[in-house]
Amino acid sequence: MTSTFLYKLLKQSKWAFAGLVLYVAVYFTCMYKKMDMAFFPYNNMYSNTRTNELTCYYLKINNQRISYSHFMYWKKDFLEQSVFKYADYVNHHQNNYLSVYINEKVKNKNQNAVLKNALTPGKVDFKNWANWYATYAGMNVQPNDDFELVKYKLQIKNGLSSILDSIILCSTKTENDD
Amino acid sequence: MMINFFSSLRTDSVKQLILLVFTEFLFFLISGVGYFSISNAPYFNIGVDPLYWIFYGLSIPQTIMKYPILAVAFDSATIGFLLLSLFKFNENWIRCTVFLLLLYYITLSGYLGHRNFQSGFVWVLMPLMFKSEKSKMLAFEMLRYWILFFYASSAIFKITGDGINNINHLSSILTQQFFPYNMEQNFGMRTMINGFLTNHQKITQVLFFGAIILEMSTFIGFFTKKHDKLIGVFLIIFHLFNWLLMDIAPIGQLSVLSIFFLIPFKKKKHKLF
Repeated sequence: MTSTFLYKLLKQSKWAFAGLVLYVAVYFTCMYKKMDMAFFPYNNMYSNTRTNELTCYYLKINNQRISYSHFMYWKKDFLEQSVFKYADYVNHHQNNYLSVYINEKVKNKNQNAVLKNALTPGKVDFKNWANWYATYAGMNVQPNDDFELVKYKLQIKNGLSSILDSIILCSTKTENDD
Repeated sequence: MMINFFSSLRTDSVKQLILLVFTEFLFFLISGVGYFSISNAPYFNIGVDPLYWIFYGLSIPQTIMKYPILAVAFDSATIGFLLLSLFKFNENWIRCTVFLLLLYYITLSGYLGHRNFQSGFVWVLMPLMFKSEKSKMLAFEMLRYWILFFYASSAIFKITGDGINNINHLSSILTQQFFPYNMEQNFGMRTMINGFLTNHQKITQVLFFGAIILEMSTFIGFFTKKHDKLIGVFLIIFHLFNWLLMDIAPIGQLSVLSIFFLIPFKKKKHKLF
């Protein structure tokens, strides 16, 4: 009994013990509500089956797809996730998850605006984002370059992949052509 | 001074721990996701998390991202404080280091757009922020239970989720994970293994059960500290397979797993150094 962690913690500091009990209570509440936070991670990765639709997003510069799989892990992940998250933002009429959440929860217009201004990126222009993304991916970006954000659907049969379909979500082509 | 440092490194578990975090942070910078590398990124996406709200509400990550000179300063400051903690251990240096690592993680994952679980490099130095040896050891012990729960809960979610009854579960995940490699015709050993596994669902499902067993090994740790090293080895194997098969690298998480090897939990006396 005297060698258990909780007993030792209680002997060391009552405040630390109380803090731990509170932490555990909050953690279990978060888990019950399926909330994932930095201090309370909800690690259910890959426990549920995903949909069979294989999709991914790529940015094209002058009709050339910007590839990222050859980069080291974290940069590859950053490029993959950035384009995916920006496409998601475009698909939701330039709203991300938090702005939708704030719209639902905060009805007061002033408070809503203050929160969204501080916690969301606001309206992120496609050309601005594409310029940054292409530069980050190591492309030599020129002012007149054309960008397209494309969604791909892929099928893999017997280890061979083929593109089923592709949709252009955003393009700067018409802007430049005009 | 350097000779003294290296001779003490062999016996000093705290220095070894800080060195591991330093190495992981260097990997982040070399990979190209340091503050400076990702500066000027215009889009971020944070979830419903008060910790993120504090930092982003105060516009700290946004300001660092906006000015490349600040990004360089914060990259350098994080390296600087890690080196200071390594060469001249002091709780105040550690506190600054932990704050900078936390800020980096909050910035990186906010601009990445999702909360990556490889966050151990932030938590692992937190116990060293306390003054007394006893408090440090108790905090490490709490961190140990936190890691055990992190992986044990993951095993429970996998057992109770619908994936366990679906023979195609892991093979469909593997297909999605390697989508960019197939799309870009970037083939190598890992894509070959991936191609084999996506076509052999039964073998893939066995690997899924294997992953659950490796994570479940953490349950032992709730009852005894005798097998800590074995648990650590199992978790590292779990992560290395994740890297090989799922393309999820453990960089960021390895240092926190090292506490199973470096921290003397079984000692009766609370002594780290």
